[in-house]
Amino acid sequence: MHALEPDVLRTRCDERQLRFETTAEIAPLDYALGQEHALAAVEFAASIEREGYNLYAMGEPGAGKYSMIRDALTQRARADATPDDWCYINNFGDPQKPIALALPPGAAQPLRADMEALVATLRSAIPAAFSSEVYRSRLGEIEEQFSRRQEDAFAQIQAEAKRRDMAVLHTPGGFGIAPIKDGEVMGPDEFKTLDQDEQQRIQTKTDALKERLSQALLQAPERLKQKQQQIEELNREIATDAIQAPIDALRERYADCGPVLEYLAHVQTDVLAHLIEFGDHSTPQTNPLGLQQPPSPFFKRYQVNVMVEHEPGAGAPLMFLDNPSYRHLIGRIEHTAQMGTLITDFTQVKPGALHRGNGGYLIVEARKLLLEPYAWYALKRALKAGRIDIESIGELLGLTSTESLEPTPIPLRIKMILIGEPQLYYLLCAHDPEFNDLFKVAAEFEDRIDRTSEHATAYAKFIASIITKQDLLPFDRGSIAEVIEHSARLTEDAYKMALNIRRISDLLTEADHWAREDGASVVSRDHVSKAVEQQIERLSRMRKRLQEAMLRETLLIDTEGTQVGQINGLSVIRAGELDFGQPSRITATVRMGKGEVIDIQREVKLGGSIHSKGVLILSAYLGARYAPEQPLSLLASLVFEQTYALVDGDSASVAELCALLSALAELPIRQALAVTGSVNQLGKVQAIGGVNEKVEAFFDLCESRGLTGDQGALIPRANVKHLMLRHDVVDAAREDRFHLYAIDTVDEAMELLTGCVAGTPDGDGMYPADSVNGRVADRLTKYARQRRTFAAGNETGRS
Amino acid sequence: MSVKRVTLALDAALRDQATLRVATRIAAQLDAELTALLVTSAHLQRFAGLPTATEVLIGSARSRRADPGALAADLERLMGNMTEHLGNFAREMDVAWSVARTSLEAVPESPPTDLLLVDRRAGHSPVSRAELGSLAARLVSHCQKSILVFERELAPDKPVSLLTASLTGPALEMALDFARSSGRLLALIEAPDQRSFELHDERLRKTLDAHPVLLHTEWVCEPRPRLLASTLLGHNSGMLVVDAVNTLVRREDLASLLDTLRIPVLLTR
Repeated sequence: MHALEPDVLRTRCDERQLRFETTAEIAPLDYALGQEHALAAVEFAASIEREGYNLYAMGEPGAGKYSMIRDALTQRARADATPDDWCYINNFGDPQKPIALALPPGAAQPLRADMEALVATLRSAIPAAFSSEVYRSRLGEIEEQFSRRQEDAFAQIQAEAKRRDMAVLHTPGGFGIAPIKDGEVMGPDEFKTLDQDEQQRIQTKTDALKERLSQALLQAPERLKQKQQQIEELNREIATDAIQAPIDALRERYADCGPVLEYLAHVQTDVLAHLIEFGDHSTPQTNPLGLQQPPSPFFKRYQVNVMVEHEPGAGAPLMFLDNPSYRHLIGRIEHTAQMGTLITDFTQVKPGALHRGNGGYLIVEARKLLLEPYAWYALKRALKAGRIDIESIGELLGLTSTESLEPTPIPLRIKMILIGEPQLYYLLCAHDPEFNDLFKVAAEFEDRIDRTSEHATAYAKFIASIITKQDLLPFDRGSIAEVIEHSARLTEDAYKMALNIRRISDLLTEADHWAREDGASVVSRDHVSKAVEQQIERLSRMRKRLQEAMLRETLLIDTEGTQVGQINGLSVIRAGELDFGQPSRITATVRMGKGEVIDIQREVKLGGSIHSKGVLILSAYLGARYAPEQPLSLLASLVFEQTYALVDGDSASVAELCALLSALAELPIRQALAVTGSVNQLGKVQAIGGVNEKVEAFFDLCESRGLTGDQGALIPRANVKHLMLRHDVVDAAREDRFHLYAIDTVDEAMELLTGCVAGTPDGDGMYPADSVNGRVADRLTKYARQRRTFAAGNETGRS
Repeated sequence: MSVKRVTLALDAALRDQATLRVATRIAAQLDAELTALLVTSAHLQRFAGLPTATEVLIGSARSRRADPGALAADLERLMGNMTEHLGNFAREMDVAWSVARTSLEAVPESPPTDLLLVDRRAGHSPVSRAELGSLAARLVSHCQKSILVFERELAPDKPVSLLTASLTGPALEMALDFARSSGRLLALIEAPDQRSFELHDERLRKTLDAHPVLLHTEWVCEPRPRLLASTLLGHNSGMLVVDAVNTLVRREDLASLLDTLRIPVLLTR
């Protein structure tokens, strides 16, 4: 079997496809490359004005979903109608239920300023009105009138008393009536000297005056009440005069806004009901300790709490919420500690992203949203109800009894866009029955694009747009070719290019850095290669440790010689962003048994389910191919030597099978070769992942020990199209120092590994005796025979 | 001269605490001691002894039989209330205080004082009730001490007006005492002609040279209380000090002046 041609080990980008010298000559891409379907879905979701047509944009992290959606919606949002401003205002009838007020775009802040100015005006105009001469004189008139009426009543009694030679006296408890003589109150002794008739007359006069006094006193409270009413009417009249003009000015300004006019009417009524609060407070108030008291909180009731405002004509909001916690999403009601109590009012209602994005578009990362307690629940509730109800989580759960508010809900008309991984989308579809009702549109963002010559040009523009955005040095043609090749490597496919903007962008930024370090004005292929190498290098500590362990033979991996039942398998380890391969020694032992292949990894629970599946498949293959008509009388054991962590995946099943066949056939395996690939029950070799990393790992080990020209790796033929190996591996292959073999079957693998013909069955199903398969079949037949003999012996022994 | 002692004359017509509060504030303003004097009248004693004596109570308008014992008890209670309230106000305003009881006739000989305060509404006599409370009227007529007749609170931020012909003596000193808080004094100088007024004016300005008070002077020469009242109103005066030696305002004019101005008037002796 021939080794693969070096050219297929890394499918190079033909620089001739790139018709420019540097990226400075090409226009950046003005559309999202390879995302036509996803963006059509975004456009559809944005344009359909129906309930539930929100969007879930799915794609791998770093695919640039957010920026593409933002770019796609920016123009549309600008053209959309600008939504209303929203405020919360005091509900004078029920302060616990603040009123939501919609205003034309741009009107909220002016209203707030107008109300502040109005209150300032009233706070000076009302005291001024009440300290005016007009008010004082009218108040004096009322007081005078009252006093006069009071005094008149008593003066009449006084005068009548005087006419009758009687006097009205002030006593500690009220009034007394006494006869007078010569301007003095008559004494008791003198009274006794009067005759009976005179005494009776005095008594009669006393009784009459007493009656009149009683009546006058009874009328006093009524007169006082009338006076109070007159004063209140006067106060109202004076205050109305003082506030009418400034409030009318506002009415004129907001003539087109009915709710504001209604609000102003409430304000006017409330001001008139609380005139005492508008008294002269020019002197700072101090508390008993002499500290200055804070300004009166009373006037907060006239504030306007602007929840959201928009510039007129700015279009619909397009927002991204980075921290989608419940409070950041729905809004919150803050509290202030006062005398040990938490209090709040309508000015403490704070907006969330739903308020700010209302009337437009809100983009949220699905994973973050789902990780925030109650945020997902709250979002669904708001979308279903079509309104934003602000409620604290404590209240939502009934955990707090602090005084709180029930703000009037604000109608919600928003296009929600969740961005996240496909897995999350499928999980939500499967486990949340409301999800599909609320997110009816899915946009699937591609993570790769076909590597055609047409796309290569577009890809160059795509790269150019990143370069422009990040203000990087121009990249020459060779460097772009190198980026395209690396991009293919990222997709693990020589015929695809990655659309992971983050990773490409990182590579470009780092290549730019190395170019600048070199003092270059243009980024070249070498700079890109260095950026790739450095990315790997920065994360290579573990990889290097493992390789060092192999070189020092702590981890036993042979790269030359032969060995029965021992083979080099290849696996992949993920270390953060870096995947790297690792050769592993797989050994197999066989003896007579009951047809079991023991997977030691599985027995000690260090084997994953896919790995176990692979072992079961190869067991089935053994039985079906070599012992179709006799019991598989084998006890084999397989193990990944020196592995201490979980082994999963079926990419070692070809290697395991080869080790097992080597043990059965007693044919040594070339240790200069490593094998990767999965096998099916028919012995066909199937594709695996991470082929590049696996090959490179074995190459690195061999190269460290010195390439002999015999070394190489066997890979599934189906993986050849995925090869994008490092330049040094390709160079070694070109120089015949390292070889790669593509295999389709286990037979091909065994021939390469043992140098022995695999052998094909004749018409009777018998394999040639010296072939791999013939030796295996023969061994299994022997085991079957031995087992029968053994079983017969046991029977005899028992009898 | 600075007022050191102030006496508030009260009678049985005391109905609320406002009078006590105003008096305490005046004492505090002058940094003087305050004595509240409950003045009882022989009229009340005689009235209580009459077989026809009946009281009509203010709160309920009910009538009840009056007798000397009940009257004495009421006066005791009044005295107790007065002591309690005055004590509260005095403590609040940091004023030294005392209370005493005396008869109207004994007021001139009662505790030595620099200034007698009386609420213009105070009165228990059957005579002259209508114009000025009889206690006030009697004190104004018969007591040879300086008397401040008030009905409302003092307005310490308003200028004090002084009606004088002498430009020396207690009237000027008291006016300056009361003008300390506003820093403004309006001197209405009584003079027969312009020349005399100018001489008086010059003399007064020299006298007040060292005082931190803003002086404004006007010449008055006609005995027309209403004209005087309009002048005081025009200057937004908060108080009027009337020198005993002036010839323009007679004591009998006081009631109508108070009715018009409704500001405290201080008559000096």
